[in-house]
Amino acid sequence: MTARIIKITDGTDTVDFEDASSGYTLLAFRPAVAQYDRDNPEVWRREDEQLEISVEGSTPTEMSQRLHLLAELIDRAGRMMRSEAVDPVVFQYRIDDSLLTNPLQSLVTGPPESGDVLMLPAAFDGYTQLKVGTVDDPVVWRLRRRGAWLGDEESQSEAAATANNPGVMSVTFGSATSILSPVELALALDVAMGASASAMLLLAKSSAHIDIVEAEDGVYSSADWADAADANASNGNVARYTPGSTDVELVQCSVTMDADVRQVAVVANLKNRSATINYYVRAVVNEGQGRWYYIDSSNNNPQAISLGVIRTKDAITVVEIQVQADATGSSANSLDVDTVAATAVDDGVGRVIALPELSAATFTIDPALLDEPRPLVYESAAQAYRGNVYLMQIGTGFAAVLLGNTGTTWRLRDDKAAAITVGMTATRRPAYVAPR
Amino acid sequence: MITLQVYDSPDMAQLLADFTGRCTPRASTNLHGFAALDCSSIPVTPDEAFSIYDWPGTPHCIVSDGAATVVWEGRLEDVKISSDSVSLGGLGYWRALGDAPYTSLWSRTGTAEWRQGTDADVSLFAPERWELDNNNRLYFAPRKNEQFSNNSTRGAWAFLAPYNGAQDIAEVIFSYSFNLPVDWKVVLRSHTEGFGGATTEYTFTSTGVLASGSQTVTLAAARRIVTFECFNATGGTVTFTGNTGTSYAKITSIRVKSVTSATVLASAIAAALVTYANGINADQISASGALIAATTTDLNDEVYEDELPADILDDLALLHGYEVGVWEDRRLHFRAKGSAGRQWYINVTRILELQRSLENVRNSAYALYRDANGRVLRTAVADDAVSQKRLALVRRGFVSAQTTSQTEAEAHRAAYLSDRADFQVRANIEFEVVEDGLGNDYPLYVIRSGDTVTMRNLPPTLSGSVDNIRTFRVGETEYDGDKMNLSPESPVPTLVTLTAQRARG
Repeated sequence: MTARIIKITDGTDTVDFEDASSGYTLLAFRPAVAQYDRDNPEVWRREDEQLEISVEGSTPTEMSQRLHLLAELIDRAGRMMRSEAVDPVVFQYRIDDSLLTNPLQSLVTGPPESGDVLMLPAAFDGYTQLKVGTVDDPVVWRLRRRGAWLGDEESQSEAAATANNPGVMSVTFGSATSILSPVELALALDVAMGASASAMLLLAKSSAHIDIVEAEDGVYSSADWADAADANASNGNVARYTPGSTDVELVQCSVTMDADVRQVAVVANLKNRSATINYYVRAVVNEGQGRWYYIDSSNNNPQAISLGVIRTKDAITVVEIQVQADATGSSANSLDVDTVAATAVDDGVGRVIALPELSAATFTIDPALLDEPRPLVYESAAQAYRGNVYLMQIGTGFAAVLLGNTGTTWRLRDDKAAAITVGMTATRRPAYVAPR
Repeated sequence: MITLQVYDSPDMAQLLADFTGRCTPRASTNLHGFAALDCSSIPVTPDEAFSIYDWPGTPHCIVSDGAATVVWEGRLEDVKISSDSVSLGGLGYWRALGDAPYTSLWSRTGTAEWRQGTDADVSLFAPERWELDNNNRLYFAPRKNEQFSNNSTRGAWAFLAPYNGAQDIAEVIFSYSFNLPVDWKVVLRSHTEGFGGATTEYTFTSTGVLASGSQTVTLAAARRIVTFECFNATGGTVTFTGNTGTSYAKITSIRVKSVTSATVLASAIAAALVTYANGINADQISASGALIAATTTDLNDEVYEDELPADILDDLALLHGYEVGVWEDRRLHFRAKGSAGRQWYINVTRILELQRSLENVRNSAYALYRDANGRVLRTAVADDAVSQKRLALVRRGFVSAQTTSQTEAEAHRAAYLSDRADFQVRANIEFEVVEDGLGNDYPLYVIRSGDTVTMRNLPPTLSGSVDNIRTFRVGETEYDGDKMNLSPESPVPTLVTLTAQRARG
């Protein structure tokens, strides 16, 4: 039988309501239940908590210090959230007879949205100098915390392999989370990355919600398309479009996607080989059409391009890449498509993050919901990115595709131009909206 | 959901700040692409506030969606701090076309801007011995009883390209009628600034009989000044004993260009403006001219002095019925209006106000232009018959076209009429959902200026007066993370406000 744990601590000072010697007694507490907020990057709306307590000490000074600590901890929490150099303040809670070994935790973010942090009893002056607060006239302590209660860390890894460069990486956790839960992602790259390595990172709920395919395995719309050997490309080949006309042409790529998915983000890895001809490219999924994106002739390096989110009313089995040249030309002016990746984005997990520079052995994205005011994205130092890095996971799975290139060459490579191995480690903290 | 990141520059090498979740950016688009970004009262510490205030360079802002595609992109222009918050104001890269004024000759017709050459310009010039005028021509006639030295005492007309302009004179086209004594000459010479380095580009030597024709003279190298000069080249001093006017040189239909191509096109000017702006601030506007669609109208009178490229492009776009602006990747587009827009459909949930007005309607129009002498000319009247039949009324207006070309003036007239022939409608309408043609719903922020929106559920039996709001091209959008306001494209500001608020839950 596990005992209740309910404490608030910054690692140095602790308010422990289950420790009789602490001087703090919890008289009444109705834990708030966070609401889902799709526009909130933390997903779960921050909540105000109100605890009715009594505070006592062996001396009037000790009682006063303990009373003061309540306000001080909330002040520290607020200052931490403003990036001052103080430790995070964490609310730890485990109910009686919990099945959990360790308490759930939630980061205290500071004072409540409105009202005071500390309200002394109405008859404060009438109390003995050793104790303040009763059931009928408590000390009221109020704070704001991040919405989700978070459990212990659990990690799963996929070993580094060249097949993941690019390829679908996925892990399976031992148990299922029932709500969106924060997950830290560490990508294992190479200690000696080549110069100008950049990538698009696609994330998904599971391997059934993400796919990457070789474009040359697709069905071409005309003889202007052909397979072309390119030793540096994924699988040694690309789909090469030679602009015999300025009509819209396409390659249909078969993808494997969960039958319930209705919104996908599409990323294509392509290269405009022409110094004069420009291309428009877009993704089409069933009847859903993305916006046209412009691939101009000033950049002849391979690029992983996000073609946006496409919506459809039917199950997704094919992703079309449509292209249109602004002039005709020879094969030397072709548009090459190496791979096409798609990830479901209608579940709170799936997304695309642009990583303009990869240079070190490990690239980490950490939502840091228990430690930091904002997520951490870093290799040896903070890194640039574009997208939502409050990574989430749900169920038992988590999958990723790292689709990148190095300078003038397809795929991620080391400083000797060899294709690197790519692996990942996902570390999640299961989230709960109610304590358990 | 959308995210907001700020980088040190458009190459995004360094992330300065991720404001995702810390503020709700209000992002707008207009006819020129990404317009404004407003992020107010972001809570920060005092140190962070001053650090943001002191950001170097001109930071680059991106609002992205779940696919890391751009919802809004631009440069950070305004930073306001207090001790506990910072407010940021961004503007789209169309602004880069207002960073530096532009001066250049492209083409000029007519004679009004030619001036007489004097001995202060070149010691050979002696205007007092000539009868000279530029009334719709350049005219030289030696005066009776004046002495004319060999190769000297010249009559001269000069044209000067704008001082320190981007382009100088490259070609002169003209027609002529010369009735001069034997061995008298007319030359076209080019000069550097200050009339130095004179180079003879064209020579006509009279045989004593009337000669006429046309010439296209391409200069050996582009020069700041050109002069037409008439003089005695008989080998000795001559006293002209004939009556003034019996010998003359007339030059007409003059066109001076800074390019040697047969035509001066708006698309070429747009490309040059992009190169110019990129040359000053390479980080602000892309050098790519790939989204500049070719035009075909020859522009005869385009001289810019200290004008902003943005203003020049606006005028050129209006003339051609084009749209001009900057969307992703800081790339300027100059293309037929609506050619790249997407089609969206909305269902109106509530009409708060709907009002029509005749005030700005013009369904008949003409354009003003001028001849080479500066006299104001008027094109024929053009009519929008459909509008006149609908209104049972003719309302006529005019537009001033700064040109000597009738063709150009008629193009201005057509654009004016197209913009004003329909009822102007004032409306305030609410809607909830944006869909594509097949009923797939999209987030509100997908709608951009230049897209077309159709309100599907207006009563089909309504009169045609609502046709211009049933389907319209979007002029402006403003999205604040929760609400989308749309305004249609219109020659007068904000007549229709359409507001969508995302469904909760």
